[in-house]
Amino acid sequence: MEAALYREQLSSGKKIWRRFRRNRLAVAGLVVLILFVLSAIFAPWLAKHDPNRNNLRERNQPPSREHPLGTDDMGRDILARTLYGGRISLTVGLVSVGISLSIGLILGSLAGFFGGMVDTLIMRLADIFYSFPFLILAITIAAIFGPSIYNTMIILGVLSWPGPARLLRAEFLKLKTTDFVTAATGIGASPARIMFRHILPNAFSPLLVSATLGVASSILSEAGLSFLGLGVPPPAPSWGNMLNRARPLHILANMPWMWVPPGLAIFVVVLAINFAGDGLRDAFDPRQDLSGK
Amino acid sequence: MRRWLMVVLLLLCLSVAAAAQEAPKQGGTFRYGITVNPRGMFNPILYTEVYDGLVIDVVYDGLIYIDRNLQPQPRIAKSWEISEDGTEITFYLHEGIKFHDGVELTAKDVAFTYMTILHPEYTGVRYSNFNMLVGAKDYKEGKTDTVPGIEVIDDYTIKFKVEEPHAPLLVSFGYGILPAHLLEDIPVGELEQAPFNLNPIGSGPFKFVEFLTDQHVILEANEDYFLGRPNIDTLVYQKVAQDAIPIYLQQNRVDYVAISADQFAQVDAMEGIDTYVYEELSYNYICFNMRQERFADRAVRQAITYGFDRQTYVDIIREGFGIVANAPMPTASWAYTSEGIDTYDYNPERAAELLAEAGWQPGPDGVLEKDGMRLEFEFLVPEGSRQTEQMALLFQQNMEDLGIKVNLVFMEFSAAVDRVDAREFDTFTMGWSLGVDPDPYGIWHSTSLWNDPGFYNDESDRLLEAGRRETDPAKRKEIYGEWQRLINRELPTMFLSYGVTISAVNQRVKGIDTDPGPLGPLVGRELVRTIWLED
Amino acid sequence: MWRYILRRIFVQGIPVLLGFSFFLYLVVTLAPGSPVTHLRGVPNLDSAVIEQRKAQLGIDQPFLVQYLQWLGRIVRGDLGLSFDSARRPVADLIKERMPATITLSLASIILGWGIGIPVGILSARYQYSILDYLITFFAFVGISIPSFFFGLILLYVFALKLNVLPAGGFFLAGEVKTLAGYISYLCLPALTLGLGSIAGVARYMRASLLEVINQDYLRTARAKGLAERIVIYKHALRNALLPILTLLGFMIPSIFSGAVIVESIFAWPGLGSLAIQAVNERNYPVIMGINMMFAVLIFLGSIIADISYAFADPRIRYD
Repeated sequence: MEAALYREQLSSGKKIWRRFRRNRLAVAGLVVLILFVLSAIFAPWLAKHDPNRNNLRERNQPPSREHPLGTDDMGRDILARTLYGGRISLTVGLVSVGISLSIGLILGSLAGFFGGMVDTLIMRLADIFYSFPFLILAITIAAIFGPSIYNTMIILGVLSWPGPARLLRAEFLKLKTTDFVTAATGIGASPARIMFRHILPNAFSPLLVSATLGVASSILSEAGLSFLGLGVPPPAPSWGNMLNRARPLHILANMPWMWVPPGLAIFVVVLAINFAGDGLRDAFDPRQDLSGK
Repeated sequence: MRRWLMVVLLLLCLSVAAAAQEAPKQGGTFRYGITVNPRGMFNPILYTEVYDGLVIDVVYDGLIYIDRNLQPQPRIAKSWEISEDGTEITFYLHEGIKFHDGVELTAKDVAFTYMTILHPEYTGVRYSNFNMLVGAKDYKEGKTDTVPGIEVIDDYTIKFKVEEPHAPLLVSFGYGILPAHLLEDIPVGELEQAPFNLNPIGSGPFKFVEFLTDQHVILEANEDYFLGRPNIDTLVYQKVAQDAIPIYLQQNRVDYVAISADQFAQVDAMEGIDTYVYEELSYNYICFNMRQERFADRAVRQAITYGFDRQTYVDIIREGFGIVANAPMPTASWAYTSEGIDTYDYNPERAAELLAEAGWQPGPDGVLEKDGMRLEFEFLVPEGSRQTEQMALLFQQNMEDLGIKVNLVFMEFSAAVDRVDAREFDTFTMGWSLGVDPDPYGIWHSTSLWNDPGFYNDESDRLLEAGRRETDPAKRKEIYGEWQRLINRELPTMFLSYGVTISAVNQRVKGIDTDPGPLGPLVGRELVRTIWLED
Repeated sequence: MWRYILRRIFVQGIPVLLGFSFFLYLVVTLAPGSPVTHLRGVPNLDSAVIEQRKAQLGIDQPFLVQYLQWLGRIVRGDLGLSFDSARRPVADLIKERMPATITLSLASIILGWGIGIPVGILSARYQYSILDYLITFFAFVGISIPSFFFGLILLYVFALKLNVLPAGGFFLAGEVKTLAGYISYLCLPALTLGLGSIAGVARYMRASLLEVINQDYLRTARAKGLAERIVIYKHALRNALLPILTLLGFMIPSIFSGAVIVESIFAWPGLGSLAIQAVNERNYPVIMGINMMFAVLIFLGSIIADISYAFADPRIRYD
């Protein structure tokens, strides 16, 4: 029976890919994302300069051949900083989503599986985290524990667990009463086995979509925190803290090379993630596609 | 005869014209830009924030005021006498000074103001400025009902007594005088919550009108001010966003505001705006934790100082708005001296020499070592200033060239202060804003709370104590000169730069000090009373 | 209905708010730094004064005592006194700045619905046309662009280069307060804050309307021969609007969060700057006061959203 389940999943995997491919914006998004990940990985080779090497004599310079995106107020190459900033954004995005997924998976499964008091308790906890002013909380916690890339990842991850938890719990509730889970329990399968072999795979698609959009949201939040000076601290480059340096109006007005690259980078990457994630959601759930095919 | 008449007429015309030009115009609103909101504690003995002080400075008057040369001048007190032995000071007050509600200000109000500071239930922080008055300690502990050191002789005469002469005392009599008749019935412990603090009544040149948080404070001229009505009608402290200041100046929305170094070029070029650059009473520094053995060695501290290019820090990072500092008394202070002061000019070779002589050798990773100690340390950098951040980066780079590894730790100011207070730091950077009196005791005495470096030096303590007792300014200056040389030699702290400030003023504002001293073109807030606006 | 509301408040709301306040107070007091840091600038200070100040603020007590004291005050409606040197009541500080933040938030919600709903309707009506693709594209742009970047762009274009709108701030003292002036100050911040809402509402409206349009009962209405327009506007819209109301429950928290950043960029005199300043100064009562207030508002928002949903759809019954 399990073999049949997997075979069905494989063929539907192909179907999903085909549906995804038809959505041109989603594909474009995926391509951009791949480029972004590659540029982050190969940043040291793509950047001619050290992003942290200051050269006060070359500060505030507009784009030139030596510095294709110009230099910032400490003489550091902006192209290099943008590329390395991408690494930070990618890392923070992935790690924080990883944290939120881990916590969410555990708590969501516990809630869904055991139900009753456990469920109520966990859902109340989720409410506490979920419906409150995320950024203000994040700012409070970040300001208090100090800005650092690790704190940022932890804060963003820990504050976002209710999303995946709710998803997983919903999957549990849906499948808990189905025949085959009852049957599996009947033949003596342990709860963990049931969870991993049967329920999780079905939760895979909504979780994937949630994770994808979660990365986008994390990137935006990290940028926001860094913009306020509470995220990634200097001298490490992050797109958010690069934008923070451009806040004085004379830099804003006269040195656009300092803020346009990081801002555009955030925008393009998040846009790509949103297109791809939306396409992913449509590909998994054909009912949403109203073109009648 | 006719020619003689014409000359007289001409002279008359000229003098009339001249007088007409010089006569200040009355009226108008003066908009003073501020970047931080006042708190709303407009009480001279309870406030601690500078921005509340701006309002207090114009709503209240003190016995004295501080002039552009940092010297005390008569205000409510028309004169004063200091006794031979320096332990008594008697103030003679003007008669007829009225509070904004019409009640006359007398010595009783002065006594009330200072007694409140000494009161056992006083909730403010000014006690330590006056605890040397005779009987202050007993009063504070509740043992007595009065303070013998504050003696009201008659309505317009009041005498203060101290055990020992205390040179900084005189300038601290600038605190605004509170109206006793409005506050004496409020228990001192509850003064903090009094509605009076948000609606102050003083005897100063301006009356309080309105305070809108995060927006502005409006004050109007006191028609009955005893020295004459201010020329302007209205004073507005206008909140402006730091980043938006150049636009506000250009659009003629503020008349006077402090600008930052990176705004200077843009503002200086604006028509109709003048900029004034002047030295302030402040400095910033990098502090060594001398409780650690590696920093206890003076050679290391001196080497690090030689090895940091502070001139580049001032010239490029501060865009020239600074002065390399080598002792904790700014050039703006009358006690400043450059005699015998080593300037520790940037000299990485000399730095390397000093370290080698002291026995530091490069370890396997290039970082200097000696007897199990390494010259790798944390540098705490409070966040909030781009210039500080840039300075830290430059420092790190300069130190790397010497084989010293500096790990930058950026933290929020509050958290950094925590670590400094707990003495859990290797090095850190901050700044000090200094008071009018040059007495460094509060920061540098070994018993001081703020003895961050852990500097224990008997000679330094002795000089500081002597400087406090010496009332002759010339002798005092000598004492402080010696003390500066001592600190300059011992270098418990590396001094970075003295403060240099830039004020931007709209040209329609007349009567400012165009050669500003440390208190700026308005001499603190003193000249707001006498400036006028010409549109 | 009332039973539902009461149950929401007592069974769900109060425990959640309690838990939130406990967690927040814990985090805030555990952190390094203290409210008396600013006393560092005062010369000649002796430690007795610092200890006295700590006692005045109550921070020399253990965490649990502090929390219970705070809790005891807040159930009586007393938000406490600010820890800064003026020690004003927290309620006053919040009251002074709340109108500005509420106005900004309302303006962006109105923009979100005002522009988002018509745009979403258009997009659904002309599905798969160029207009639809354009609108969809811009909606994605709207939710992808970081608000502060968008805000900086708006500042750059409208305030610095074209000089038609103010570069942030609010009326100056003495400036005549006209409605036009007010709108000019509000314009850029509201647009910045509202962008995400506009985009989100437009997309949601489109999806919701499309889902409804293809339902069976509408086919029946068409078969009966009613004009297409009537079909859409009368039947579909009412049903499609329902999910939008629930959106309110999500929009409010994100708008309050976004407001902090937007107020910072445009120097808008609202709660945002107070919140950031309070955090920097470890002003515990103000931090707690602002966060709790937002929490309550958000909770109320979600209840209102659920209730409106019930009113609009007679099939839904809460009890």
